[in-house]
Amino acid sequence: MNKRLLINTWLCDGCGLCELVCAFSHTGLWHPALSRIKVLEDKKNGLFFPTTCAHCVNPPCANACLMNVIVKDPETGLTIRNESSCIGCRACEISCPFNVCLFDYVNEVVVNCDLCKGDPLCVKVCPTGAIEFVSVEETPERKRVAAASDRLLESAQR
Amino acid sequence: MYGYAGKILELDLSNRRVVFRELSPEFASQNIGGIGFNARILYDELKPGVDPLGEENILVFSAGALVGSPFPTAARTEASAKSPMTGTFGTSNSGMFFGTQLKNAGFDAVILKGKADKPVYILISDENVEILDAASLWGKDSWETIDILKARHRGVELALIGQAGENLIRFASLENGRYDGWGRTGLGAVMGSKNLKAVAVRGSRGIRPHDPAGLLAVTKKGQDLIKSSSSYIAFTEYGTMNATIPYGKFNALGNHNFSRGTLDGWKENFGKQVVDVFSDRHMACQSCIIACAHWVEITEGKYKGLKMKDMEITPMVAFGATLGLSTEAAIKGSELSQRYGVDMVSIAGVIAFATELYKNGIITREDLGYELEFGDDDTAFQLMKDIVERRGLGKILAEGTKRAAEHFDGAQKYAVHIKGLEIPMIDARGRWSTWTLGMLTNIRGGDHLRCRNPVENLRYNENNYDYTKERFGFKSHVYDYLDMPDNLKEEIIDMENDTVDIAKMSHWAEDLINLYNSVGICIRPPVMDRIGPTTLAEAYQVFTGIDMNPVEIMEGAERAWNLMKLFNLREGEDIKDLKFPRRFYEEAIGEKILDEAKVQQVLSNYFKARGWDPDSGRPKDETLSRLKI
Amino acid sequence: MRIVIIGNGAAGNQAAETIRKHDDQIELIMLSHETFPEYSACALPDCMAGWIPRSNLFLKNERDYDKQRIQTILGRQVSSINIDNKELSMEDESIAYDKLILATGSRPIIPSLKGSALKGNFVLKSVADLDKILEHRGSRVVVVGSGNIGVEVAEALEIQGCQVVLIELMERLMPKIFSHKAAAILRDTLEKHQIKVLTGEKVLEVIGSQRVEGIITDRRELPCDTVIWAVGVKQNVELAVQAGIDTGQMGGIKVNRHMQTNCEDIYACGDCIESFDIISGKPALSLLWPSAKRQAEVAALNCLGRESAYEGSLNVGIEEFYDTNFVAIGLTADALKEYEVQLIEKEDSRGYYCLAVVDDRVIGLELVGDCDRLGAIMSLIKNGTAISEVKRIISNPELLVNIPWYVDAGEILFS
Repeated sequence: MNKRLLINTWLCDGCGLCELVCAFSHTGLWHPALSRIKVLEDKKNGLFFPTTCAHCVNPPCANACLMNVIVKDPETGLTIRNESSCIGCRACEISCPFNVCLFDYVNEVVVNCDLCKGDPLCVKVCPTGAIEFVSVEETPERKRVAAASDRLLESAQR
Repeated sequence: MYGYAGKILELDLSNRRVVFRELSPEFASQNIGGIGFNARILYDELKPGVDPLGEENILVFSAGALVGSPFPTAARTEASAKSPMTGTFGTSNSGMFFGTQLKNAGFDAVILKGKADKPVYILISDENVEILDAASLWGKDSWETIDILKARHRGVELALIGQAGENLIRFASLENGRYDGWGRTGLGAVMGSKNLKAVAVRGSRGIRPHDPAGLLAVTKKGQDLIKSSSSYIAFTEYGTMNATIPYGKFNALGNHNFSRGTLDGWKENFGKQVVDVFSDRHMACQSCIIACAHWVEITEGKYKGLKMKDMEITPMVAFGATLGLSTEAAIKGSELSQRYGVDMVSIAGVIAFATELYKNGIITREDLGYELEFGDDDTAFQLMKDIVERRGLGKILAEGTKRAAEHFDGAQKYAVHIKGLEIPMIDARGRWSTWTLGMLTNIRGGDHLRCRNPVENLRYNENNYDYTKERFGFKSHVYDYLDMPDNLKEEIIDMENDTVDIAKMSHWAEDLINLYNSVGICIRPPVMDRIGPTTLAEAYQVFTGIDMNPVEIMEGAERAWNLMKLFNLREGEDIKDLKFPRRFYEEAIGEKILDEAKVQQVLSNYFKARGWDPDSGRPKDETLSRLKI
Repeated sequence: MRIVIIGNGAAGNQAAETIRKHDDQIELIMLSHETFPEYSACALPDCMAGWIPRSNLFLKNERDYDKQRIQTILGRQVSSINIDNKELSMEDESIAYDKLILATGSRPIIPSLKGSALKGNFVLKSVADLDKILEHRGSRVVVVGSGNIGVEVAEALEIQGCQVVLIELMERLMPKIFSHKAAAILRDTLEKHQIKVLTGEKVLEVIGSQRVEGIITDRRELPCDTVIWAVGVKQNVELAVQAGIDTGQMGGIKVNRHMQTNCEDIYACGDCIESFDIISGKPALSLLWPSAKRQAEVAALNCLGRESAYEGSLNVGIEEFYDTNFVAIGLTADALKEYEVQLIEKEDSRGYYCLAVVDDRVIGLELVGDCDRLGAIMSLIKNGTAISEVKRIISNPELLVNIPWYVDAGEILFS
C-alpha cells in the first residue's frame, strides 16, 4: 500500500469528528485525547489544522525508542510499533518534531496513526473533505498542479 | 454508566463546598439531559420568590444527553437560572465544545449555588475541582480573559462573563469561549452576582457508548438524513443568513425598533450575499456536518482588521435592522457584545428603544451627552459602553427595556419586549406563523428560538390567513418524511387545504425543540426537518443503553416544558403578560397590524392543545398526571 | 569484505542493522563479553520495579541474529587489537577484519572505598546485575548517586517494598540535568513516597563483616543491607588505548564526524566515544540510547563507503517518577553557566517549566508535570530555530498552515 493521508487544511472547519472516531475505533472511548489525529487551532484566525503521523522515512521516534519497538514496515513503508514491548517511556513522543505520537493513557503505551489497516476512518467521517487518502505518487502531482494553477490565476489577475 | 458521564457537580460558592452527586438512571431517563435536567433541578431546588441577582439563585449547566457522541451536531449545553430580566425561567443554549469537555471531565451537569466572597473562577480538571482567585481577571473583557485562562490552563473550554456580567447588567450574557454564547435572559448577570468570572473545564476521560455499532449506524443515519434535507446545501453555504431575504421581503425584520416595515439598503446590508464579501471559511461545532458558522474578516474601512466568527442572522438583524447599522458596524457590534458579554438582541433592543426615546424628545442630548440616531454606529457603541459601565442613562438602560420604560413618561409605547425580554428579528406584523406565536408562548419571553415548525415554509407570508393557520406549501413527500406520529400529522397538517394548524404545531414544535435541547443537538433547518423523535430515541437508546421509544422521549421533553411553565407560574407569571408590544396592535407597518382578538384566540387554541386551562394558561391536573409530574 | 563489531548493545546492534539495510552480502561478526542477546539496559529499572517481565528486556533472540546473518561470538573477551595486521585476538583465536567498529560501551564505577567489595554492593548496568540484585532480596537499600539510574532504582526498589535512602554528593538531585527548582520538585515527589533523600552528603565507607550492614557518610551512619552504586560510568576504552587509538580529553575514544578513529579502518560509536554537543559544539559524553544508535548509523554508513556526518548529540531525557513526568532537553543546569541566559519560566496547575534562551534561541528546557506536545520545542532546540521566526510564522496563517505544530511551540513560548 502506498497511500497516505492528504490534509487539505483550508477545508477543515474544526468539527472534531475525525478525533472522535479515531479514539473510538482504537480504544472504545469517544475521547479526543485518545485520538491519533489531532486538530490544532489558531483561534485568532479561526483556522484548524488536522495533524497526524506522516510516516517519516527515517523517523526520529524510532531512533529515540529505548526498546527498539518502532520500525518501518518493509512492505507498506509505514512506521509501525510492537506495542506489547512498549514501556510507555514517551521518549519517542518528545522526539517527534510534529507532535504526532500519542500517549494512550488507558493502555500506557505510545501509539501513532496506523491508517486503520488501509481504510482510514477519519477520511470516511470528515464532512468537508479536509482529509483524503491518496496514493503517494498522486500527491506530489496534485500539489504541483494546484500550485501551478494558483500561479496562473495570480498572473491572470495582475 | 453508558452515554452519560454519571455525575453532577454541585458547588456552593458561599462556603466553597464541592459535592459530587451520582446521576441515577431514573433521573437520567425521566429528564433526558440538557434543558430537561435544568428544568427538574431548578423546579425542585430553587425557592420561589428569590432575587435573581441574589445569592439564592441557582445557575445550572447541563450537557445534552448525546454530547460526547459523533451524532451530528451533538454539541450543545443548556444553561439556566431564574432570569433577572423576566423573573421567570431563564435559559439559553450553546454549542461548540464546552459540553464535550464537561462530559469528558466526568460531569453531565454543574450546579452553582451561593455567592463567593470575592471574585473567583472555577477550574474543573477531571474530578479535580478548584475555586481560584479571579481578582486579576475582574474588569477584563471576555476575549482577554479567554486568552489568559487558556494559556494558564491548557485545553480548557470556558463559560465566562465580561464586564457586563460583573456590573450586573440585567441582560448580560455568558460567553462560550470566543465562538459562541448563552446569550439570552441575563444569565451573565446571575454569574456576576455570584462573584464568579468563569467556569473552566477540561476532561481527559471518555464516554462509553452502550452499543458502539448501533451508535455508528444511527450516526450515519442522522448524517444522511441531514444531508438529504432540501435546506442542507444552502445552509452549508450561507448558514443562517439564508433567512434574511424572505424576512426582508415580508417586512418582518423589525427595523428601527420595530417601527418601520422596510429599510433602504437592507438587502445590500444583510442579505445573504454579504457572507461572500466578508467570509471565506466555515467553522463547526463538535460533531457537526453542516458548519454553518462563518469566519469573518473586515479588510477595509473603519473596522479593518476585525476577525471573528460572526454573520449569524440574529446579531446581523439586531444591529443591522433594529438599529439600522451598516454590515461592518453590525459585525463590530457583535464583537463588542461578545467582549462585554451582553445579549446581542437585548442590547440592540435597548439601544433602539433609547434611540426612539431620543427621536421623540423623551430623552435629550443633555441627558445622554450625545445624540442618538438609527444607523449611527459611533453613538450606538458609545451608549453600549455607557450601559455596560452603568454611566449616566446607562444606569437605567442597563435594567432592560421593560424596567427602563417605567422611568420615562410616554416611553411604554416604544418598549418592544414580551414578558420583559426584548424581541429579536421577525416582526409578527410582517409574518404571522408558528414561529411568531412561539414568541408569545415561549417560556423565556420574547424569543424566537424555541418554537419552530420543523417544516416551516419560508416562501409564504401568513398575514392573509386567519391567525390559526399557516400555509404548508410543500409537496407530499415532505409530509411523508416528517417524523411525527400519523394521528398528529393528520390533525396538524391539512394536505387538502395546504395548511398547518399553528396552535397544535406550536405545541409539537416547542416539545421537539425542548427535546433537541435535552439531547443536545442543533435546531438548524436541515436538522429540524429530518431528525425527529424516532431517530433521537434510537440514538439515545444505543448511546445510553436505557430503553426509550419515540413517544417516551417526546413526553420527556413535554414534561420539561410543563415543569418550566409551573416554575414560571410559581414565580408569578400571569396570562396577562403574554402580550406583544402595544405598537404591534396599534401601529401598522405597511398595512399590517396585529389583531389582538385573533391573537388571543390562537393563544387559547394553543393552551387547549397543550392541555392547559385556556383562561389562565395553567397546566391542567390531568396533563400533569399524564406527564407524571 | 568483513566487518567486525565489538559490542552487543544499542550501538553495536544499530551498526549491524544499518549495514544489513544497505548490504546483505557483507560478512558481519559481532563480539561481546556478555552472553545475553541484545537487551535494553534502559529498561532494567522497569523490570526491577515489576512493571515489565524479564523476558521483555531482550530486544532480540538468537534467531534474529541468524535472520540478519550476523555471526555472533558471545561470552568472550577480546584481549587485543593489532591495527597493523588488522586482527583481533581472543584467548585462543584471532579474527581478521577489513573494518572494525568499536561499540564497547561503558561500565559503572564502584569507588574503591573500604567495604565497597563486600557482598551486597551492586551496580545496575546489565541483566546479570539485575539478577544479582533481585536474588539478594535486600530490604534496606542505600542508593548512591542521583543520576537517571540512581533515581530510577530508588523508585523501583521502594515500589517493591524496600526502605530506600538516596544519597547524592551535590546539593540537589539529578544535578547534571536539573536546576534547583525542578530538582526540588523531584525531591518532594520522592520524599512523599517515603524515599529518604540526603543531598550534599558523601559516602565514606561501607561497613559490615561478611556482607553489607551499613554505610558511613560524612554526616552520619546508616544501617542497610544493600548498596547500589549509581555514581557514574567509565568508558571501556582500554582495548582501544592499548591498540594505539587516541582518546579525547574526557576519556572517550576520539572520533571525527564520520565516527572514524585515528586508525583508518576503525570506527567507534556509543558510550565508549567522546561525542560533541549539538548545541554548544563542545566535547561531551552523551551516554544516551538514541545517541548511541545515531552514532552507530553514521559509523556503519561510513564503513560501507557511504558518506555520512554526525550532527552532534542532543541531550533528551524523560523520566516518570511516581506518575510525575520530568523532562530535560538540550543544555540545562550547570551546562548553562557559561551562557547569558534569559529564562522563560512558568508554573501552574499543569506543572512547571523553564526554557533557557540565548540569542533568541531556546537552548534548553526543564519541565515537570504535563509533558504533552513537547516535540515541537525539541525540534526548535535541536535546529536552533529563532523564537522570532516562530512568532512570525504563527502570526501568518499562510505560513502556519504548512507548519501547524508551531501552534504547540507557541503555547509554550508565548503564553
